[in-house]
Amino acid sequence: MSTPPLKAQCGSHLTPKVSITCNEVADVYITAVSSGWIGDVYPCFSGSIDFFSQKLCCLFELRAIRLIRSSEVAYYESVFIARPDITNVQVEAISESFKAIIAEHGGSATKDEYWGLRSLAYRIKKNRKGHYVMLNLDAPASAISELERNMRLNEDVIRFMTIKVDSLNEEPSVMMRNKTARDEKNRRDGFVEEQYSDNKIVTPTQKDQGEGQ
Amino acid sequence: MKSRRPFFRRQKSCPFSGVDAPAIDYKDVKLLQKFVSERGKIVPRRITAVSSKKQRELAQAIKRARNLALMPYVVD
Repeated sequence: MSTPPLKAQCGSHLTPKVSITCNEVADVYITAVSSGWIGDVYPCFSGSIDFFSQKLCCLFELRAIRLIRSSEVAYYESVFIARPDITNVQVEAISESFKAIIAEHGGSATKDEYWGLRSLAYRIKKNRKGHYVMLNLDAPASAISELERNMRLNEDVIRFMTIKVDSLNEEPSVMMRNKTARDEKNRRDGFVEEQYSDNKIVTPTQKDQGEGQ
Repeated sequence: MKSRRPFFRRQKSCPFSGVDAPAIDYKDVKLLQKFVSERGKIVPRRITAVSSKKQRELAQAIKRARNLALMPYVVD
């Protein structure tokens, strides 16, 4: 390729400028190295990433540079359902082991919620109930794929789902709120089953029909 | 001769737009339950008056809840 070494070109335009988050610099460096220009990419670029990539592209025609965002962390919510015939302690142990996997890969679990032994809406692997656990994760994609692989392998996990979210909610989720409300109600009522009554009160409006004749 | 009042359609507004509208979340089964039929099917938005953008979000949330067995796929 006829592109001159990156270092020489970088000097004049980019050296005087300051500060960009290190993730982006690291990524650019990686791509530059992998595409064959082993030059020094100084961690002293400036401005926003848009400015930076624009400048690079137009000045040096580095079309090959893709900003690989692999090292970037994202937010995820992971829910898994464990078999009903294991104890709460075991469920706790499973979720701890998952959290350890996340931590190993440079992520963190910001919240874990145990929704309790809930009945499933349909049977999963011949189970009618399951322990629900939700983990809020702040982790790179590699950690998530490792986590999912382990969930698939684990015999006690009957179902899991991980979704990417824009932001992690630190407050207890709807499930926990409902659970605590229900527990309190049960305590008050002396464990009386909740009565779901239809509140549809049909008021016969005979008058309306004969209106406007 | 019986003259009938002209047909009047009440203006419906999207239950998810507005200041204190609830957030669509797959975990909020109680909310999602209002937007499925007795058979467990997602109710069309011409009936529920949900805006098209929110309907797509809602459908996504319902499908997630179904996957986690929080809601049924079918009710027999």
